[in-house]
Amino acid sequence: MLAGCAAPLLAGGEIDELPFYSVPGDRHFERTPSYLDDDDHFRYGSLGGERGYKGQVGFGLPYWIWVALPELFPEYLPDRKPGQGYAAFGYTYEMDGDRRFQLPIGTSQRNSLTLDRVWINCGACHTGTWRDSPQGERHVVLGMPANRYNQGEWVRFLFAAASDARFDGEHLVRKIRELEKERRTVPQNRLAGPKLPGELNPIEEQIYKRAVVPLMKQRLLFLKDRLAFIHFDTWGPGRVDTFNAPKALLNFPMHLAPESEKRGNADLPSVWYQKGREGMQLHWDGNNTSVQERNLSASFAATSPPLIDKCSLRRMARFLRTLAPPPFPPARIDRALAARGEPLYNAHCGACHGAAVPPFRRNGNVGKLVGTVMPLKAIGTDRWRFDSYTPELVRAQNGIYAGYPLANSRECPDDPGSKDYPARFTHFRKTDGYANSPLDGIWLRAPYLHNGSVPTLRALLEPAADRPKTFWTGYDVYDFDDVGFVTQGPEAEAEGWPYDTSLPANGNGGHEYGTKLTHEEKDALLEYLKTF
Amino acid sequence: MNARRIVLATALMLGLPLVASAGSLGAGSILPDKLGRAMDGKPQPDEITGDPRENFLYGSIGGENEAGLPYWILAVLPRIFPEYLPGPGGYASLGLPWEEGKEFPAGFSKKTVFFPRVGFNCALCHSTQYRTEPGATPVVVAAGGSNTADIQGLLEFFSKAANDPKFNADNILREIDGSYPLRFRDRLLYRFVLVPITRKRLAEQGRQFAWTADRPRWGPGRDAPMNLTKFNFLEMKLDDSVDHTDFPSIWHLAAREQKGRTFEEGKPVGSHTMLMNLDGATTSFRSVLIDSALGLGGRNTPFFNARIPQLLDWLRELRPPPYPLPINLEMAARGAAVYETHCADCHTSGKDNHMGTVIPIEEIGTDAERLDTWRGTGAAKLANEKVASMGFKRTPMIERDGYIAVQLDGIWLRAPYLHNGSVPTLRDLLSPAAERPRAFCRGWDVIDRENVGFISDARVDPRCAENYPPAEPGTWDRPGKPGRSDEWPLPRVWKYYVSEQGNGNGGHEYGTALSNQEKDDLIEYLKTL
Repeated sequence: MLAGCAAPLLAGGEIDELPFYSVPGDRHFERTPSYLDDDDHFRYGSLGGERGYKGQVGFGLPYWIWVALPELFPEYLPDRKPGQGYAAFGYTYEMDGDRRFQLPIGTSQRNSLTLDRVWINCGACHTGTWRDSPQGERHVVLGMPANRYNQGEWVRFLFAAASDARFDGEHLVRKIRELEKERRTVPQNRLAGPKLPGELNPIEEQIYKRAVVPLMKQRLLFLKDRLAFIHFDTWGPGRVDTFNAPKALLNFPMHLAPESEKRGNADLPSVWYQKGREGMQLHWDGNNTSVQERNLSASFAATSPPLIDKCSLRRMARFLRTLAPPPFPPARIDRALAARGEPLYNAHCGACHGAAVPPFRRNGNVGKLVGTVMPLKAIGTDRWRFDSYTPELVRAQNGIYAGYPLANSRECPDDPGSKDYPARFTHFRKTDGYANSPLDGIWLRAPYLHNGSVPTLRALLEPAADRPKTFWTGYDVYDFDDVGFVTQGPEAEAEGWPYDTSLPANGNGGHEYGTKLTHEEKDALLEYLKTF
Repeated sequence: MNARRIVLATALMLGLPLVASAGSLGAGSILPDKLGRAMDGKPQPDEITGDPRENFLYGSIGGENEAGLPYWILAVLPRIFPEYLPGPGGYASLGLPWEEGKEFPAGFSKKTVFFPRVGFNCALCHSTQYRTEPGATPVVVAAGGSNTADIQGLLEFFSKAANDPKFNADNILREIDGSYPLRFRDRLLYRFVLVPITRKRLAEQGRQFAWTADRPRWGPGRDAPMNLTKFNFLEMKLDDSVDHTDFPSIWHLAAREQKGRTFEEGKPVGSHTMLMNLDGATTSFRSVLIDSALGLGGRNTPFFNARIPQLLDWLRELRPPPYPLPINLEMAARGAAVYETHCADCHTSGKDNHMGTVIPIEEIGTDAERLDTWRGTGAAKLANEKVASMGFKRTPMIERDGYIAVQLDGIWLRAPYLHNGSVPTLRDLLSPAAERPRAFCRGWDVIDRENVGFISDARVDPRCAENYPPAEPGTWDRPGKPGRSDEWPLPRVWKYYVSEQGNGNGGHEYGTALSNQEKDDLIEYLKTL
């Protein structure tokens, strides 16, 4: 955030010679931790969005503000309980320890102009968890939809905090001092995870007080205003409104837009086997056939064109090309029953949903239509997400990444083709329905349909009228019989979020395929789907 | 049409001529070669120049030096000034035909002349779009008359932005910083040169267009070609005329050459002499094209002089697209006979007939405002002098006493009809003037299968019904009602009222006495043209 004012001072006349894309470690005035393993990079690697760029303050919250906010404003947390960091929003803290100071999966750090800033990366929305019982170990799965992550609530928290009069230099720096003192008393093993930034020195404290906090407040309030038309409170865990954010980015006059385009709430998707998805119609409505553009577009939650760390993003993308979902616990699959389900799958599902693993499109009927769009009238599922992606946005998006690749763009290490990356969006299209997605790892992709309106695969095989009308999402104990997460019962209610299918954009109709199978056939089909 | 483009010429004079006096070199002078080449800048990429259609839609006609906006200012303006656009979508909200995947709408040409700029070309007003059903992706057709583009809205957007204090280097650079890392020297260029000059030019342009404010609005698909020429290009004294005119198609110019024509106003004439402009104010394709391009900033440079014959050759042979929906051939065959009897004498190309000649206003009876805007004002003479002074030799403009009978190729895609777009469908045109709609919506691109034209009535939106309680005439009516993206992509409508000055829907009562069956057959036949 300081980049805007300080960069010219530090850089002198050389300012335009700063490399725009950092290869870890080579950018002056800037450091971001680099990780040896690709999976750690996916968890904690930076996409570049933390930093600012000249007139743009950037996204990143300075680390100590990140730490202080839940402690200073517990009343805005969903459970109103301080001391848990951001866990209440469904952020996954991998290491046992003191969550006030640790950083969860899906966050990254970058030190830019001496300021340590924190923001999210791909891992925030694409890392999920499951347990086999309430007491069981929590399995963290990279590339899985972040089934507990309530980003809408998190954004609302940040905006509420920024709107509070106590979000000022005085209050925050006082809180930060307290927390620094407390962190000294925390044993090292309770601070495990990515290496954390150090304490502020007195000069930095003054900079925080006078510049960083006010600028951050201003930035958050600006975003609050820009994003005001988005219904963050309707997202719930595991869902985001994907294509209304770019409308805010492009500053559309949304008060002139019809309500029907303002709720694009969509379930977070899995991001496994990206190589096998190349050329398919991606996103729920199939609006883009380029994995590369899909990645760049998705990264807008975490970065923006002049800030993007392209080498880092490409490393994550490479990692996802072959990343596979974990298998359903083998002991819990009835192999004989699953074998009976296979012909049923091929007869009733295979044409649209393809094979279990890449290549999803095989010879014959299997996968004939996978990765293509089914017209809305035929699929019949809730239309809000479809309507949120407007023909006007298709066109305005074509200006994003205009001017790229940059003239001085460089190749990333061991990454042929990165010199011409990123480039202007050219693949977005308005489609006429929703896309047929491959079903790899489908057991971990509950709840189902694009808006997450059907809790389990068993419920999806029921006619829409018989599917659950209300249930609880965001609880990660697994339901091995119905295939999906547990969505009813006291524990689910305590941890989960009430999903009401009668609310706008939450409709659970449509996709009535397979609903006429016999009970035995459904059992067999479900068993077979566990093998995906 | 001279003037039509000139229209825009002026209209879009946003530019920053690096060679300040280039546009006003003395009478008869030709730009020195070197200077001309400098003004032509770097050639556009092959994927544009190598394909005639792409080149028409996105290629330069040489106006960037005189009338091009600095690329990054054009790119970020909609993000800084959304309040001056009719709805969400940036430039897309103005209904400009815009192919998916393309950076800009048709008619925007990006070219580097010392620095990247975006100028405008013929396609801004001469490319159209249609859909066979509401949810379909619009098909963009080069050289059709744009029926959806709100060009007045585009001009006003620029001038309102320029008059807003937010139009300053800090805001513009901050917005660019959100999209692209300008190099240091380019930041300086934008901060100290391009932003201030662009602002000044756009504001100036806004003042030149002030006369449009107290006349009926153009609405989608129209401009004011003759008044743009008079008030902007020639700087004539304002009068109270209104000449709002539908953008014409400019495909298949060859069909307009009446080879072997033996008479025109009693005099024998050779080929290549069909009258252009809707009132016949020009007799040469080349003249029209030059005058129009001047309006968009074209100047007498090597590039421009090479581009004119290129464009003419391509437009001469370009065919309109065939009607994209099924046609009842039996009815069409019967309709052909009706056409022969009632329409062919004025509308069939290649015959020794009245096509391409002026039908006196007393006879045709359509709204005379457009004609009176030009006739008797002396503008033709002034325009000829001015164009000559810019170094062009061309067939001069003239004044006539009526409207010309035009060929009907691709007529299904040229709605609404008559020179002012006052009749929404062919079926309405075959009704007596008294029975034609008094109000309807323009700017919608879905084919009206029954009536031929674009759907323009309550099927689009209840507000489009003739009797819907009136909004204020001539403005975008946008209460922000719910719309679905596959039904009504723009949650607003633009309603056309025939009661406004220049919008009259009278005249051309040919064929109105036919039986219903004959009309059905004729309409079916017209789809085949």
